[in-house]
Amino acid sequence: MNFEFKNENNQRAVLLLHGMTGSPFEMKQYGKNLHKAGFDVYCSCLPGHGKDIKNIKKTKWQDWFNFAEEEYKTMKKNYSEVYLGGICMGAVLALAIAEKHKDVSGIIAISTTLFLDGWTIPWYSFLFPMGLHTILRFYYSFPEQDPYGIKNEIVRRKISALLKENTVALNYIPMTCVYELLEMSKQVRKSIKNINHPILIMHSNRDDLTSLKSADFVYKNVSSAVKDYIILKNSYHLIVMDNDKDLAVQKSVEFLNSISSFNNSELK
Amino acid sequence: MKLLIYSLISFLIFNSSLIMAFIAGKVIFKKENINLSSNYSIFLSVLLIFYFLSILAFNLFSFNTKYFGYGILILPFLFMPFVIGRISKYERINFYANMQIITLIWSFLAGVLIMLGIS
Repeated sequence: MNFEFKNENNQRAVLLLHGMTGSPFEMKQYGKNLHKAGFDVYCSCLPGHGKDIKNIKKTKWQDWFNFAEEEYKTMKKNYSEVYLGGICMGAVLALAIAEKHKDVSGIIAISTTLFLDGWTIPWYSFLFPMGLHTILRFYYSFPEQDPYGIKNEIVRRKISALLKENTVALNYIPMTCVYELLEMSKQVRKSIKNINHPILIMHSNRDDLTSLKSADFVYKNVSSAVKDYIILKNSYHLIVMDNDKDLAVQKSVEFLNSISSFNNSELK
Repeated sequence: MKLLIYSLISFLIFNSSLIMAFIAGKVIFKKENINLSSNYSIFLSVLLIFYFLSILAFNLFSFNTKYFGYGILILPFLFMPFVIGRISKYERINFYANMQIITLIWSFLAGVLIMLGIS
């Protein structure tokens, strides 16, 4: 499930972080395209995900953070430039790591999920405090349902079939995951002004899980001198698999090349 | 005075409903049926809300009466589910579920004592 796309002697790499209850599967095509553009790309399953899914309810956001941080530190020993890219919870994780590590070369935050206020959040979400802050969070799970974060109907049907197998992603979101994500979000929001790294924020204006409020918050509060904010109009939450996936790759590559000290000709 | 009694009665009703619902939950959640567990959790959440509202109502109606002290007595039970939620861990969920049931039983007994005190 994990993937690595490497070239010999490459000096720049991207660590990709997948979303909540997802897996590297959702980032693979995006990662391949970044690699074609001259970057080494790494993506591993976060704790409690993939084959470790039975442990998802025991996993805390600090487990995700520590794992991703170790991945970053390992990559930093081998590359001059290490960028962080993440989707959904992965984007929040990327921000959390950048807050702690000043030597992150840049951040790509896709569908950053600081708040859960998308248009598919259930009508009974006013009960969230009961669900999140009592022991009920260990029992409650949101069923994944249409549109599964994807506007493209063909892709959506494929993802829906895969979700039923609960291998590349879960077909439900445990409330404990939501709790941990929101706890991590709280920490990230407190220290977001510590981020002064170049940052590219991409978010759909029709994101079904998290509205533009999350992306707006990041854009307005980071201290970065270089910050780009792109609102995508033809996708839902899972941008990297949806209608705007090629545009997302194009903008990511342009961003990375604009801030990188290396370029493709040097790699050749 | 009537509102005070009604709020106390509703407190006892929702409290006892919660006790039975959490005990039944120990069987229901064991089945590991996601839809069943989720729907039952929503039901428990609604009961909890009514439980909290009844505690607040009792405190409101006892305010400025000689029974205000009784309101203070049951006020901590408003926070107990959140305290337990904060400290609980998935690995020991049965223990914390039992703790939740025990605190609900205590709050019920407190409510019964208050009822005896008022009458």
